[in-house]
Amino acid sequence: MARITSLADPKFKIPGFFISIVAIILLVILHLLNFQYEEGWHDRIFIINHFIIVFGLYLIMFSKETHDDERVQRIRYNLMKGNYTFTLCGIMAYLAVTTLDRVDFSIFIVLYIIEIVLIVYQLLFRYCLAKNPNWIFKEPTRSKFAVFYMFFSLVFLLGWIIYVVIRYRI
Amino acid sequence: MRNTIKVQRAKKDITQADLAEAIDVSRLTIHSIETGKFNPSVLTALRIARYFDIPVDELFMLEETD
Repeated sequence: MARITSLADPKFKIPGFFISIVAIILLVILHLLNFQYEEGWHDRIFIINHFIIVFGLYLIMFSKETHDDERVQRIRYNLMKGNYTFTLCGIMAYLAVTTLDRVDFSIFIVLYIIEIVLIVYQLLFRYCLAKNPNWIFKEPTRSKFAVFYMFFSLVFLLGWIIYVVIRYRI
Repeated sequence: MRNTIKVQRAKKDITQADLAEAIDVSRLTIHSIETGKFNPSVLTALRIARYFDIPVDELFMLEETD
């Protein structure tokens, strides 16, 4: 049965895989060689390289499987929720740390967070497709989720208030 | 939710792969439904029932905890 979907064809998986692998290998080689071409060359080439890796990984992520049935869609949906949550939390945590002047901000760390989460997503997705673990199909109850989010938001808020009071002596 | 897919398959003497092919899903999807890991959509449930030529409520039954 033909279905309208926002996902790309399964054939995009292989180009996506090769694009990201080649870009990762290139990144490692450039880091190892530490080659100097001209002022600021490193940053420009690395940013492009990271964007290519992210593009390749997204190409795999948004490609359909050969047999893209409702089980695959459920696994994808559940893992994507985790993917977006971890990417957002990772970037926000890094922004919080840099805002508090603990470390200097670097766009590469943001790109590394996105890449690592995408790679972990791919590994988990392949694992779930092959092994069918029980936990991926479990539907969390609404109340558990609400308590979980409220608890962590409260802990974060309290931590933040304590930090601001100590740091700025309000 | 319980189901009798395994029993129906045995009656018809077909494998999970045969059933999967007939209703256009993967073999692992049939396995997940059979073992109760995954509850199928209404569409898939109706397709399986049509394949075995039995009503859906003979194929899928609610349990006390559902």
